[in-house]
Amino acid sequence: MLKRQHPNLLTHRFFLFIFLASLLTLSPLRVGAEEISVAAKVDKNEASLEDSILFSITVSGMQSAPQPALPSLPDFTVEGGQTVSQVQIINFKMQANTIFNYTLIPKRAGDFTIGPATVTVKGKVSQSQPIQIRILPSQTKPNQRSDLFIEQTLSPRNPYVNQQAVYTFRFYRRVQVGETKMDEPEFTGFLTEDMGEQRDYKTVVGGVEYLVTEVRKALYPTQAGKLTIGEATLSCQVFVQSRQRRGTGDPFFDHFFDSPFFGRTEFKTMNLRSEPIQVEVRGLPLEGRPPDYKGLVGNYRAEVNLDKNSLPVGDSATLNVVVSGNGNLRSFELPPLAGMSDFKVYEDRPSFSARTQGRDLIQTKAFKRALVPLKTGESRIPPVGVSYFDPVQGRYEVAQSDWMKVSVTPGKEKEAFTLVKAGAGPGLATAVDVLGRDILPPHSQQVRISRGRPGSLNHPVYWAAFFLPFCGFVITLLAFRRKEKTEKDAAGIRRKKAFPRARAELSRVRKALGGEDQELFRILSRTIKDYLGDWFNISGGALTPLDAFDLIKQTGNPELAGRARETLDKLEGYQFGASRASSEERKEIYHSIQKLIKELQKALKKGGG
Amino acid sequence: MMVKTRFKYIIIFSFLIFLTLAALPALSTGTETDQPANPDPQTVIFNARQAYDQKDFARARDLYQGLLDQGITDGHLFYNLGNCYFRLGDIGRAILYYRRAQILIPRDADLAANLNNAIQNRLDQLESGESGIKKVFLFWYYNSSRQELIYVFLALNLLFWASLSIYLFKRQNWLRWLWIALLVLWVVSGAASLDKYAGSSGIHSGVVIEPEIEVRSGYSQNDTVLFKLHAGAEFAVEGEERGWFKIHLPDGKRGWVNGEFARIVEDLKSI
Repeated sequence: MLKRQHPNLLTHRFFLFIFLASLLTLSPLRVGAEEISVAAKVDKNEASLEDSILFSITVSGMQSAPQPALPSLPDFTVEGGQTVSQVQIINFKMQANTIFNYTLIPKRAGDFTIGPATVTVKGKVSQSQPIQIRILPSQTKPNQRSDLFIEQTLSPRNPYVNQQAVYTFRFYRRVQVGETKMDEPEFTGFLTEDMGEQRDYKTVVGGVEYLVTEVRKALYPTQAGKLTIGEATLSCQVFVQSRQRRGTGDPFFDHFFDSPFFGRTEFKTMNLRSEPIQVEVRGLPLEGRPPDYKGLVGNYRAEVNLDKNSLPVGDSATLNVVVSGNGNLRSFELPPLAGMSDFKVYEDRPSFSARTQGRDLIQTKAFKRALVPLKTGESRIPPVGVSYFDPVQGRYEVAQSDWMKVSVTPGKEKEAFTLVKAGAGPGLATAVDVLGRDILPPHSQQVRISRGRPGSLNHPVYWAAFFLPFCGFVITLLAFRRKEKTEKDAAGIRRKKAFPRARAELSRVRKALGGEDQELFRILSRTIKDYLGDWFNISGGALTPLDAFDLIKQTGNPELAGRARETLDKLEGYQFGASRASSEERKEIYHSIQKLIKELQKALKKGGG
Repeated sequence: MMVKTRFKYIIIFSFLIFLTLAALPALSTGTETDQPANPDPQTVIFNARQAYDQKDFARARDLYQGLLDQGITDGHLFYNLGNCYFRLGDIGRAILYYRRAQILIPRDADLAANLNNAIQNRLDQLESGESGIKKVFLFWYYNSSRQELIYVFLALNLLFWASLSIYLFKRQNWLRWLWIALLVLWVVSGAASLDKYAGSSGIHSGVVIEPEIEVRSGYSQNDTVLFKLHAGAEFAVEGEERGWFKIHLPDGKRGWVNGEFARIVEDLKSI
């Protein structure tokens, strides 16, 4: 019995492929090349200033659509949100959409039109329809028993210049909130100091209990007149329990998951605003103002003490002056101490601190003065006074200490009392305080009158500086190459040196002209032969007069060749013969050889021998 | 043969670099034109200083600006203009002119102090554009003016070719290292000069001159406002389109600003 063979796997795969391809080709479930469309919508057409609006732009007909260009929205703050891509199957047609979500936070109440959003794909522009929305005024008033609201207060509402006014910001809520962000108002015209950390507490407003977060600041108006503390804003996420969910269609599961235990939590962004605060700042009266008044407003006291009542000459005592009050002491400086002619006074850097006490911010500034007595005996330190304006009394007051006495005893040794220069005393060196900021004056002498663009290279000097070094290098390189070439040519070198060698040799033997030595003729003969040897790159010493004649004749100058031969013969005659040349004859021969060699040089160079 | 080939390549390479850098003069737009009859510049400077001392800052500004219009460019002149604008409360232009002065007199201590003062007075606190490490290693670049860099480059140019010439005849090891080192310095100084001179990096810096401007997502008034900048804020400019500058801040924020509300620091002629 034959075994049934398995079907051919390759055939199976082939037919499977054909089937799937047909399925995909003929299937109505395909994403057609649809028209791109843009649709915009908002989650609400009417909202209050505390609300935010979800603005969604849906681009249909393509996945991964480009970011749409938003319309101009000057009355809203726009925050980008999620981008969602989705594919839907509608009537067996696949449709791809991209949804861009934005959060619009209104800046003011009124009726607005959100213009069309546009999307450009392959040069074609698609846009959405405009949307009308209405923004209602703020509803955050405590008497409305809202779930959450904010308020800001100032006390007093009509302070004097530099008088402390306590600014309080409170956030009331009776629902759970998440991420909270507060924007402080502008305190134009005020100096500000924080008053401790924020406080959380519960309170009842209109019969309703609220959880309150409170932040306080001390404000000091810097000018008289009407000032405005702008609105404070706070945005927060409010937790909203949602029990609604899409049903599965199964009544058992829907009933089970719709129970409170499985309720879903959603977040809603709330934007709260407070009313601005109008402040009427009163100017300080001129009447009764002390001459040493430094601008303090509030209620102050000054404590003054001396660490020593008795001290020897040369020693120092420390005078401590502590000023504290419910005003602005940060920039306050103690006036110079009057009536201190018996002492040399050195100032120390003051220390500053602030603490909250009840409803006020109490600032304390401590000043130290080192006192060095200038004479022995009893000295008196006059009272230290600090002038201030009391806003409650409406008049100027002085916080003043009592007179103090110091007994200065003589030192152990009589020593010359040397006054030190004004400045920090011993152990009292202080850092340099920055008292102000300003720019340094203009430069006049340093301005140079030069026209043209700075660093312009139009000047010929720059061109020369660029090119000349390079040109120099090229020339050097050429010279180097030529030198290399010449050095490789030994014969050429020898020929080159022929004449200078002969000339040098002739100069050397010149001294021997006056003598009677026959050596002269040998040298002269050798000079001519060596010259010819160098020129023709042969051994000159072996040359005979006839050889010399033949060599020179090659240059096409037989006359010169003949004379050279005659000269060499004559020289040999003197050299080997018995005759002696006179001094005059020696000189004549020398000069004739000089001339001969010059003529040879000229002729050989010309002839290229 | 190898020596020949090697030198051939040295010549070709050096010549190519040389040609590239020799194109530098082509970028110059010097304005060496005949000047019409103008008041003596020294007199103008004197009068401007008088006006400044008398707190007539607007007149001092106009006088200094007149010198610029005559084609006179000097780092101290830009510094003085910066002072005038600072006194007039125009922080944006004050910083703009201080930065222009910095191109020409980068090591002037008064300039550094006044610029720092002006920066403290602007509303936007921006991070420094250059990292500390970059400033430490490239201190010579930041502390040198264009002119100085070009002088250094020319000096190195001379030394490099001279050392190479000497090396042809004296083949000593130390000479070889010397001209190699000079070559490196020559290339670096040439690149630095090119960068400072022609802004070859392509990135310029700009300053906001209006009290408040909006930086948008595109180069149109209809594009979304991304963030705002205030007078004196500085940014890097990447490009320009239809009169709008594409900018980015040190912290990475990017956008487009209308060219009417900002000025390019390197464009010394723009007011």
